[in-house]
Amino acid sequence: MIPTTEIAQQAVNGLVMGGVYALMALGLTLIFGILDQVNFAHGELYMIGAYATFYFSDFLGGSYFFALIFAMVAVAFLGIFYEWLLFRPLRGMGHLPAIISSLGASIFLWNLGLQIFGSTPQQMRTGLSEITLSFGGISLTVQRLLVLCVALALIFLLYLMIMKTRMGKAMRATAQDPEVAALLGIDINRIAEMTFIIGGALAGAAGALIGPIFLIYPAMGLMACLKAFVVVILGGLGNVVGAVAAGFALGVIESLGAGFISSAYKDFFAFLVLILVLWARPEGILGKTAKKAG
Amino acid sequence: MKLWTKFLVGLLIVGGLACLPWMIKNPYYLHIIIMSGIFVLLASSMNLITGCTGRLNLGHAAFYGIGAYASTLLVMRLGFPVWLAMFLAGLITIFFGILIGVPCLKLKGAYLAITTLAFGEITRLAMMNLVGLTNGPLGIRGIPNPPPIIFGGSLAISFESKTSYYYLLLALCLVCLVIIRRLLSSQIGRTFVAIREDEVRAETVGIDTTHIKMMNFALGAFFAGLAGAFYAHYVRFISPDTFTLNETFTILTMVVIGGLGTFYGPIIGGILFTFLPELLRAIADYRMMIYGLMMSVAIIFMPEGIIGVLQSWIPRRTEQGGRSG
Amino acid sequence: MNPTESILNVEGLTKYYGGLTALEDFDLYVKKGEILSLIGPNGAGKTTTFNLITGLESPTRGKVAFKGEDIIELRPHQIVKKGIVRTFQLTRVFRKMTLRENVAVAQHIAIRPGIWSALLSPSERRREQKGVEKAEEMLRFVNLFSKRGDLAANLSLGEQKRLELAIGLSLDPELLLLDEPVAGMNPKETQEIIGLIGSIRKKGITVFLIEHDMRMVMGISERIIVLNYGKKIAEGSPEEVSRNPAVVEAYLGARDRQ
Repeated sequence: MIPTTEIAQQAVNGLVMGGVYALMALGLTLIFGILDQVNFAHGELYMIGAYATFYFSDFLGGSYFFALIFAMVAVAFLGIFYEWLLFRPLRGMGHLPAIISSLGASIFLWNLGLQIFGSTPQQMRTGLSEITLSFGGISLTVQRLLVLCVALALIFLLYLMIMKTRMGKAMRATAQDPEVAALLGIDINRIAEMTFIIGGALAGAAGALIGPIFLIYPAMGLMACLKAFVVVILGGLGNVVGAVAAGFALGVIESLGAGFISSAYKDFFAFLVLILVLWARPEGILGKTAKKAG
Repeated sequence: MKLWTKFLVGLLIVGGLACLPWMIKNPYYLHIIIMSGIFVLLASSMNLITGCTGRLNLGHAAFYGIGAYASTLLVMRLGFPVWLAMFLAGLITIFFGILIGVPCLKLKGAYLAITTLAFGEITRLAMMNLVGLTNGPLGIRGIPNPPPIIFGGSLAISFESKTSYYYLLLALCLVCLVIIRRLLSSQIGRTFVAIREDEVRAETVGIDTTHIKMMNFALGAFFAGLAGAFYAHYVRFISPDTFTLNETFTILTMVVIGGLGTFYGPIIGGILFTFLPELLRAIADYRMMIYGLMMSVAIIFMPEGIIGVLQSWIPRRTEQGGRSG
Repeated sequence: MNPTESILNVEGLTKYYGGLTALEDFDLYVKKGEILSLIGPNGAGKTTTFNLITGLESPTRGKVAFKGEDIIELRPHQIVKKGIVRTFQLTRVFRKMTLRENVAVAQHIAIRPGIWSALLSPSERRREQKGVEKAEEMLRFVNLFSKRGDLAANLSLGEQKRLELAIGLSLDPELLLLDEPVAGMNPKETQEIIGLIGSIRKKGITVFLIEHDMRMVMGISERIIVLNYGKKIAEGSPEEVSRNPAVVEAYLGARDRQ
């Protein structure tokens, strides 16, 4: 007897997580695709998004929706600071320096978080977790449904932005060939700032959305960042469609694995998938958008 | 520097180090010095992989841990003599280095960093969860110290006091560092740098990059494993908490601040960052924050580390082995 | 083609990138001791040809034989060992190493280092020393000896190209593949390179080069192959090729496109 309802339930839960992973991975993959740099401090954007929402809604009593927007804006600002402080000084110097500078920032930020917020995990209450909907044997809290909806909405907005706006075209041009883009008059600094604003906003949203579902704690960015990287690698560095697809895929795989194999080793699955995929295809499943080999 | 000047300076330094335990009676200070020696080994081994060859290995603490656990288990579960176990632990770590190294061959940059991080975490999770083997989070206590070295008659060095450990570590560090120094200034060292600078070019200049990369990983693993084995029989208690990502980050900070890719950089970094927490006891809580900040600032403003800063003060007509400090 | 005369034989070399045809059914041979030039408009597939021959990329189809031996499956460093050496269009020198180290590192094959021998064997040290001597000799040949202790990053373009030549020559090639050796150089620097290529030829090394500078190509080559859109459109002596209408068309057409 195949427990189809259980599978479906886990799968739906997985899609919810997948939405969060996709949002995280999108920021990372945009930064890599457009700026050719790796942001190891991405998880901290997520963490700060969660805490910002928490403080806005729980402490200041604001509505959750405004808290979400607030978090996205706040983290977008932080994203610009990342660009100014960590990445701009190292532009053009290869991958390793930027990895190290963002790694340092990550260590700084989550330990700073430890000092400011304390190590005790907090619970965000939004009341939406209390209400559960169910159809066909699958139940979903409103919060989870919201996560999925907002994630999809943001992904769609991002799609519109990249495909339809001038800024989006400029970003795509830069991703394709930065030298040509520069010759066409595209200002790499503005593009970089925009990329980090978007990446930050998405990561902040991810943190804000996940906050009420799980506990928030200062080191939450680490695992999220790690998984986001797994997603990005699976989908191909710089591959936006891949990030979304792999994000949802990982969410579902993880959820099914945790539900049916072992929930203690839940985080393991991401690593396992990563290693297996990289063994078979070092370029990731969908591969990187081809850049000119030197 | 002329060769005999170098030799003399080296002799003075070694001599000074050898006299250290007579000057420092406080066993706690001696302990810090011993720990700094361990970190010098760890930083130097990470530098081989990350500094010289430019391959960011965020799972380095795993090698440290594997060496520690391997030696411990060989002695306590299989009854191996301690000296043999320590050496074998190094070899076992090489084995894992190769195991991890193979899938990492085709990876670069962020891919490599994440994968090695994943391996590091998997290793730590294994240490935590394979309770039958490793006793899990409780760790393993009562690891035996090395047996006394008997010179015949009644002359023996026993490992009851820190002093003997100190000399053992000093000898270990000297041997390892001499080996590393020789490797870095040889053709092999140059191929490491070539791979870091331009792997494709290195390949087209006749360098078998696969072979060299594996050798590089194995070397880094070996020295880290030795450090771990020493640690196990010195502190005589190990647990997965020692071999965490934080540890790897600390070692990375040592290498970056000291000077990525240089010989003396990791040595300075290792010593500095073992003493620093002691001096900054008051702000111990902020330690990792400060490390993170320093790492970012260093890579932007002094990418060649302290060694780089020192070297820039000496007007240099670069010569053979220019960057190896 | 008579196999004893040709040192390199390429048959049906083809490379597709997804929907893009970089090279199609390219046949060529290189005669021992000659100077052969490969020309064509930008994007014609010249560098791809070099990449395929030297193992940096794998062909979709085709065979490459060096001195009768099939080298398609070999990795780049193995191909270097066989005697084919290439330089790059955008100079790839090891920027943070000195000139001497740049060339010395290429002595890797000759030195055959290993961990044990590096540590313990005195003969290894002697080989390394020889490697350094050879590096200096090569630098002398390309007139960069006076800068041997400088960092490669500090060189002018012309000097970088000469360094690339030194690196390539130090590998004792039988066949030297030069990818745009005078690109971006002023006439004086170009003359120096031409002189060097002549000296290289006198040493018995076969030279196969890609170039855009027509005067240089016409002046120096014994034989020219013309590539356009991945296909060979002409082959012959400089006079024959320059009078070939298809060639003129390809280049004029290319100019119109730009």
